[in-house]
Amino acid sequence: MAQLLVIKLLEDIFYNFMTLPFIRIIKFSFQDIFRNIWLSLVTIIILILSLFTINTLLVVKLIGNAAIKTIKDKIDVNLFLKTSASEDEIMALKAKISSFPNVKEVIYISKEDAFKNFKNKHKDNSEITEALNELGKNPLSPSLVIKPVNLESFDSLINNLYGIENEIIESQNFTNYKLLLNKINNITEKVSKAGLILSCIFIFITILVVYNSVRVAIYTHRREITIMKLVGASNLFVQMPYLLSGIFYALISVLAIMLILYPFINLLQPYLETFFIGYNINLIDYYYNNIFKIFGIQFIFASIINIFASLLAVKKYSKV
Amino acid sequence: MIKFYNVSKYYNKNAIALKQINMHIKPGEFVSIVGQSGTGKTTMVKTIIGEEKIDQGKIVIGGWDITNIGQREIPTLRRQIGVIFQDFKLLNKKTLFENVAFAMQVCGGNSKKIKKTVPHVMKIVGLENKANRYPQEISGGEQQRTAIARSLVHLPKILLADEPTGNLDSLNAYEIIDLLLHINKFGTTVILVTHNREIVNRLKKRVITLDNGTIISDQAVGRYIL
Repeated sequence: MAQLLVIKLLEDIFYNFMTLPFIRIIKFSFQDIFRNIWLSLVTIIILILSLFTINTLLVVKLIGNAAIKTIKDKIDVNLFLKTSASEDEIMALKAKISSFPNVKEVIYISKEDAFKNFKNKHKDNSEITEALNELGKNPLSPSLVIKPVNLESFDSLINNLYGIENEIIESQNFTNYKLLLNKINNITEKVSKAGLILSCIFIFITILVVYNSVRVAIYTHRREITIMKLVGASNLFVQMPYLLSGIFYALISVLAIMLILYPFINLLQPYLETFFIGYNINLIDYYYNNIFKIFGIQFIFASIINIFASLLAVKKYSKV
Repeated sequence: MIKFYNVSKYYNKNAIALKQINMHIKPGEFVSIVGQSGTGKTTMVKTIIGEEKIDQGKIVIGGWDITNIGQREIPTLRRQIGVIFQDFKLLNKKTLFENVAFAMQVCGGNSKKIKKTVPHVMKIVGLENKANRYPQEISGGEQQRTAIARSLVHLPKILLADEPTGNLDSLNAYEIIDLLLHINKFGTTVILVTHNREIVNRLKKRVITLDNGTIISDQAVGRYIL
């Protein structure tokens, strides 16, 4: 049905293109919007809410992806060794682990390096520094930092490491990053699904609201429409202002959502920077670099929905 | 100019609006279509302007068979037929000039042509000095004159007047009829749909009388016989 309506509309535009007074149609369309200003405002607010939901969905997706990327980059396995282990024994173990096909890189951190890193990391914490000074010796163990080839090989790497029987290994308890990733994936997926359902609900409400706005606008203008038809105005001329109103609603809503999102993202950005410290996650930059793509698609999408709803109302109620 | 061949129109099995109507109105004629309420006069007007489809027969207007006219062709037909109604159908928020110009605007007329044509038709109907007034500021007769001016902007070959004097006192009514006669003199075919006996008898023009959807009389110089 929608396809038929659109084909008919395009046919009408094609046949009447040369004779259509477009400036007058735009003027009539603005008259429709302003004569029912409150209804127009309600329509625009509903559209803004729909677009806000969609943009929230986009932000959640971006943050989710960033979180996953951060964790993926951080995935490694720390194999802690006994302090009594000799350099030769450690190098032999390192060589053995490096030969595993699922290992990308093995880094050896001596107990001295570990101590230096630890002191560096906690140089601002006087309690830790004092405790270390009181202890008077290096309490840290040497370790091997093992990076897997990819996330998929993480499980097999862990299994390989559990399989090594070497007395210089102090502990074989490894953080399960995969579980963490799955959790983040699950949360992102659930939020996306909820957002998608919410977006669908809003789109449905938008269609209803736009349909009703156009219906009321037609009712308000019923006398004009009667006269237009009696004096020989083409059907397209009668209907076009209402279809254009739908496009104007979409345009105003997209411009409004741009203004609303800017402070919203600005407010969120410092928290993201704190959370993803050391990683370049910048929502403002992302929106700025993709402004035409993001809001262009949203404008086209909103316009299509509005034209569809207007077309249904116009076809049903503008027959005079 | 207007030819009806065995035209019938049914709203349902029990409501027959027009029954086997045969009628030929020549170019430049002034014809009154009379009959009591509900005899099919307005249905006849509606079939001429393509607002109602007929169920049987054929209607030809100016050589154009409009029996099965498509939605896209209706505007072209209506630009050739001026129509006025009992309730004037004017827009109260527009001045008389704007009301008349509206008919041209919505049909794609350019501003230059509108500025030239509107004062001209306003002059024909005698309202050139009231062009900036609003409908509620003038009399019923003047409102009907405005409606006539609006119907003339496309220089129609036919002017259909459906009960144009129904809302007017006798003085204003005669003024409107005189105006229609004046327009007829320019060569426009005028069809006056009315049930006003005095006007019809005074006109001494062709009268077609309808009763129950059928033509019961068609006189070249007729009188109101019901």
